[in-house]
Amino acid sequence: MEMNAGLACLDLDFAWPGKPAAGRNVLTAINATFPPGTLTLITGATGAGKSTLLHLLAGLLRPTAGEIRADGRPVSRWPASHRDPWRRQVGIVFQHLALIPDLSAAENLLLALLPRSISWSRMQTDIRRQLMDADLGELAQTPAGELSGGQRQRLAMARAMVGAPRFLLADEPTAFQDDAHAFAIISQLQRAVAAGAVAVVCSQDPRLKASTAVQHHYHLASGRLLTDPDPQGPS
Amino acid sequence: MISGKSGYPMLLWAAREVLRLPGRNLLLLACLASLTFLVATALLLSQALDRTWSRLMDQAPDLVVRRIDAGGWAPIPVATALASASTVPGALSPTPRLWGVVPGPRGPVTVAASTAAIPEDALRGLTPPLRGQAVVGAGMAGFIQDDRLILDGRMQLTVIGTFPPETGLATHDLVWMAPADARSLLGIPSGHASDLAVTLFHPEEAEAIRADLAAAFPWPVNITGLRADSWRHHVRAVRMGGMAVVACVPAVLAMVLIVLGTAAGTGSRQSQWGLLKALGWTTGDIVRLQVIQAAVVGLPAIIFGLALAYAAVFHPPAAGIAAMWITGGRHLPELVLDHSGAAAIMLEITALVILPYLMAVYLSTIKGVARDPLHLLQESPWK
Repeated sequence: MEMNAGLACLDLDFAWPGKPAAGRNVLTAINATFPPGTLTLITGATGAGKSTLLHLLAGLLRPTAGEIRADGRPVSRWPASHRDPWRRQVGIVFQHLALIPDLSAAENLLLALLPRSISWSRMQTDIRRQLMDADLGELAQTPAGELSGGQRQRLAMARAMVGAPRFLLADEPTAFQDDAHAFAIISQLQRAVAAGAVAVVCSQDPRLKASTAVQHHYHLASGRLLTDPDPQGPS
Repeated sequence: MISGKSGYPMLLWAAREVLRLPGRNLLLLACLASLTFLVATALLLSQALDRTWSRLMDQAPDLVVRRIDAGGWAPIPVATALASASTVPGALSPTPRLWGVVPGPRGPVTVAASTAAIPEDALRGLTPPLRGQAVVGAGMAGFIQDDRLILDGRMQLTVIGTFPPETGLATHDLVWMAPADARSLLGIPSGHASDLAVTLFHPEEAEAIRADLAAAFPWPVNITGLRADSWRHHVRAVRMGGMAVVACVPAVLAMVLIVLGTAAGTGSRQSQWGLLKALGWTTGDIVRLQVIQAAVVGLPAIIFGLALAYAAVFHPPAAGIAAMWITGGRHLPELVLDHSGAAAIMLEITALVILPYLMAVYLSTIKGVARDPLHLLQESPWK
């Protein structure tokens, strides 16, 4: 494996501009490495900064100090013109899902493929396969706004996966899922990891904490990221 | 802009995006089509008038010599005039013309007896009138009953034909009759003509030859040139087109404001742009999508507006209505437009409508999308 492969946070600080948050950063001195072929779970209380960390890893925000490296390259320092196309290697599931409600399930997935230089028929094939994986094959033409909470969650996961991303970042991907669908999502993550992806998941779901698919456990508290000594215990 | 594997899906997606907001895009289409129609009608009309007049002027003589005396215009003795003109180098084919203005059924009309006083295009396919007969312009046709035309309250003529409508600019109020009838009506004795038409070997020497011609005749003459007439009509047509375009400027500005207002987008639109950036779209991808989308709406609108304008200028009865509306009641002839004129109109429409529209879309998208993706994503709450 390449020495610098995967995602790495180096002395990462983050504070919202104009919001000193009582004098402290949202994230402070984060040092962590997320190697390829591994699934990392980050736990933490609500408001601990889990989503912010994912947004930083995805290049949607810039750190106030330190840097993020992707396969050894300092992506957090890149100008927008370089970071925007780099995000094609990232698949992200937002906590608020960010699905477009009037577009069909298939069209929501298409948005992730359109800027890539692939043919229309290849896009259709990839979308169909991903929807089948997410157990949404019958709902391809249904507007996202008409899906149930669990179906929308799976659709968001499918959108993150459809481009076969190198970096898979998921915020509460198993929310609203019954056990069968939760394990199906964990299997999807496992398959992506087996294919060499870097997977970082933020979740409080005990099913994920207990899953053997997760190789690394971190806990985020008071803006600091620490190795979780008791992954299956209460956070 | 649309090329390779990514262009075709982007075009399809742009069309899909247009269908997502049918009301807004229909409004935009109607707005653009109306604007194009207004601007193009004015420009086409002035351009076509200019072109039609130029085409008729091409068939007219380079110089026209008229004799004047203390009472005004005087008939010109043909033999003396021809002898005098032939002494001037560069002045070719001096041709006496018999024509004048007499009272008609509804105001003054122009009568002509010699073919040199009538454009060649107007004479095509017509039989020269014999004594007691006349060929009339389109403007006269409405005043004729039972093929009878009465001029100056004393001469009754039988109408045997009308001039082609496309020559209306020169033949609208023209009556072509036999020379004997014209002499009787205009009071021009035999051996005399109304004026002398002269063609020049080098038309650009008109100003120099005009002085030589004036000196060659034994009586005072007034000489008019084709260039002066053409220039006067050209200036009038251009001024008319320019004024119409200036009148359309508020409409152009209003359209740009509408487009800026709609294309700049609401919070939900910006949050969708934020999502696209999070999914790997570049600023260039988003701008390309918006411009293609603008073209998907704009191109049919502009083609439709141009087609309507073309019909309003060149196809009766719409052309008649448009001409009456624009000129405030003046009847206009059937107009023509050449390729260079059409190209000029297209360039003007591009500068006045297409460019401001595309620039508005381009600039408002660039302005809206140039922020961190997360800030864009958070512009409006996701449901």
